[in-house]
Amino acid sequence: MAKIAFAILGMSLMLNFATGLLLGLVPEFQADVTISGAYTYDEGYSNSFVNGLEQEVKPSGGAVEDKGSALWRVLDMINIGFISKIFQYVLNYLYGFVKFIGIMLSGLLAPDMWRMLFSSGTGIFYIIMHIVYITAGISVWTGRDLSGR
Amino acid sequence: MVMEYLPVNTTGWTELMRGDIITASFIMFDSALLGWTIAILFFVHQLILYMKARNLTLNFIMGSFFVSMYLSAKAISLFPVIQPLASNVMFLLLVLELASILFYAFWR
Repeated sequence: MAKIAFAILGMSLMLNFATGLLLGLVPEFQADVTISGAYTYDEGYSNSFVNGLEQEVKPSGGAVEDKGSALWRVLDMINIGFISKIFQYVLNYLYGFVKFIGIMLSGLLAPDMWRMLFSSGTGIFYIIMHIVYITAGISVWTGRDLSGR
Repeated sequence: MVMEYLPVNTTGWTELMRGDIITASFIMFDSALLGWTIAILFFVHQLILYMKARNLTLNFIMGSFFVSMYLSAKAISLFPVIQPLASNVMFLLLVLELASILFYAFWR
């Protein structure tokens, strides 16, 4: 199982790489908004954070008393963004395969079906990947393969 | 489907009356398959090439030529009936091929 998990991780990395290469290789794909729009770099990386929080990201507290406190608030915001972004990168690499298939099939499936299969974190494919990674993690940690082989 | 809702020239009669029989038959099939003809041809081409040569790199290179030519022809609107998702599906197959090549080259 650990082997499968690492193979999926590698395939996900290579899919990211291949998508970028192919968009450069066949220039007509860049003109196709449905293809190039879905892969625009950093296009909505804050969406998952803001939607999860269900409000805009604002600095804490009331009025800014002095310049020092403004500086600390800016540093806080930078840290929050940094942590959120790192987390998104990790998710992209761990679940990039599912995400990629989801983007490509979004035009072909009915919205309800798509949500059942590919909604971020809770879709069926994401749950399968959670199980794969947890099993692989346990087998890497304990040295025992849970699948019995 | 009611005839007047179809775009002009989806039956291929115009080409047939001109004596352009290849274009006429292509347009007829393309209308009947709702614009998926090129994608189906692409899949058949890739499948036959893979069965014959068993070489994924060759498949990818020939496939990217095929798709480039199709998209150039689409840009000058040679095809009257075009399925917008056809290029997405071909893009998916090409990306999977290239990712497999890179996977076997760098990860295995």
